Amino acid sequence: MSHALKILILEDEMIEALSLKMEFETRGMGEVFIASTYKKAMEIYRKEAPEVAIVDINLNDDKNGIDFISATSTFNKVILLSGYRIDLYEEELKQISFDHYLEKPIDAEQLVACLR
Amino acid sequence: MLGSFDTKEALFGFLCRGLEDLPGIRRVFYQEPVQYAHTQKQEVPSLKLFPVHMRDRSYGQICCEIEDATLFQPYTGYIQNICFMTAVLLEERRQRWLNKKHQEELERRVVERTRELEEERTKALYEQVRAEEYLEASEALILELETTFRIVRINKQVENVYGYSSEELIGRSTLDFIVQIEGKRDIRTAFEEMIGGDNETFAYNENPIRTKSGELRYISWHNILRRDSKGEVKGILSSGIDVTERRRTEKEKDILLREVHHRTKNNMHIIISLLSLQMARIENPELRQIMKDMRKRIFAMALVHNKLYSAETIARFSFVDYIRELGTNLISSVTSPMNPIAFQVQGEEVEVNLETAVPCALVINEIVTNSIKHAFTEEPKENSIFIYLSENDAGITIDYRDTGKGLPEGFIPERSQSLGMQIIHSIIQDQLGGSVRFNGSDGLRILMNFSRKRS
Repeated sequence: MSHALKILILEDEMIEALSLKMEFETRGMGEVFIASTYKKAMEIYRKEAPEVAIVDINLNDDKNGIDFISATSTFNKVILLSGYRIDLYEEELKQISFDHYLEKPIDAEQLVACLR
Repeated sequence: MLGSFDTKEALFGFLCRGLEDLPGIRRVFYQEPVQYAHTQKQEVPSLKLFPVHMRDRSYGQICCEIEDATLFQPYTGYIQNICFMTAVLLEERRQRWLNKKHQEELERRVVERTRELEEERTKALYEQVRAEEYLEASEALILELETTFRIVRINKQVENVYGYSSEELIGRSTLDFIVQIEGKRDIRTAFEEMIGGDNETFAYNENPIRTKSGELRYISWHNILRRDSKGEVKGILSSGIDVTERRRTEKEKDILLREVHHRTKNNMHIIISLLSLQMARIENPELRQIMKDMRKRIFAMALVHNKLYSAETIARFSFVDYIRELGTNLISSVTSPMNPIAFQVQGEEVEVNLETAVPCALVINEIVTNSIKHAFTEEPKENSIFIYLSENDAGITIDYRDTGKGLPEGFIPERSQSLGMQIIHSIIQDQLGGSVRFNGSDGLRILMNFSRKRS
């Protein structure tokens, strides 16, 4: 996956989103798109067709990250981020498919390792 | 006859005047018993004395001064009879008087005793009213139970909390209202054992009740055995405090604290992200490494808050789990092409609070980072880090080992100027009041001992 990968980051905490974008870009891992809302993420999804989704579950929005993953289907890799333990979303997570669940605080290198 | 003579003197005056009419008598007079002895001593031959007495009691005497003994002689018996009759009358009067006195005394005593009883009754009534007032004013629920756990008596607060009236409660079993919590001691058995004489084990317990409206109220109970004067068990007296609100407040406090930890963690995460953003703009590799180390330190602290907010008991969490997570994370971020590092944490379930956890977290971060940076070479070799945790009366011990190259020749950790070493020393020795020992002869071994910090 060292070619120009399209990565979508859905995260409402902009500093965190920017920091992740920077981590991926300095490593030359691909092109990073940032969305802070469900709606914006949907736009990018339709327009850019990213292969990787890095999605924070809790958004300051009506719809959360799980809703976004439920509504989409073409990602090669889905990484969920959350400030809460995985068991909080036990039931909802059964409805979607994802590759990794990372609980914050997230170490950037750990996340990069998930993408390799 | 006697009724018209109010006093003894009047009676005897009348008698004496009558007797003076008898032949041969010059004069008749009466003497009180006190004068009697005195008069006897006087030897007056012409004086004839007639004592007036009844059994042992003397009422004085009639003294007749004789003028002509021969004339007087035939009346002696007559006077004796009169004296006897008078004594009988006087004795009768005295007895009547005594009876009257006695009756009066009795009546006085009855009145007095009645008054005393009345006072006692009022006092008892007052005490009873006061006790009932206390009972009703009490915030505590008070239930008197028979040995069959039937409710005999309750106070107002029971009605208030249960939502049932006393008519609905009295006669029912207290067990009809208490809710058995799964996994907790069976209430009926506990009560039965108590009635059987085991006064201790169920003296204090916390069990909820179901109110009339179906709501659960948590009550902290104190049960004591009721015994009669012979010491036989008559039932149980239960007093309870409604702790529902207190439990709610504690829960809210817990939620609030978790929220604080969660936000602290989130904020630290933003700091980590800011450092990452800054790092990307730094060319100097040395500076970049400094920023990276700083990021790791904040990460270690953020992880403590993460553990605390998700721990079962908000104030404490398992330190073994924490070290495992932190170490695994540190190792997973190693990007150099060296051999993989095996990371293992074992030991006792040591629980720590925030005051102990944060400084310890920073120390563990430093020593693991130190091993990752300096211990392992690229030569094919099994690289591993092993941490053993234990706790005894002397405190918590962290036994750290790696299979790296050990300490360089002549390296004295205590004198090292590196920030990592300074953090380890100052935290363990100064902040936690413990000790650190290094051994670098076969890999690196660090033995740290310190006592737990109170919250």
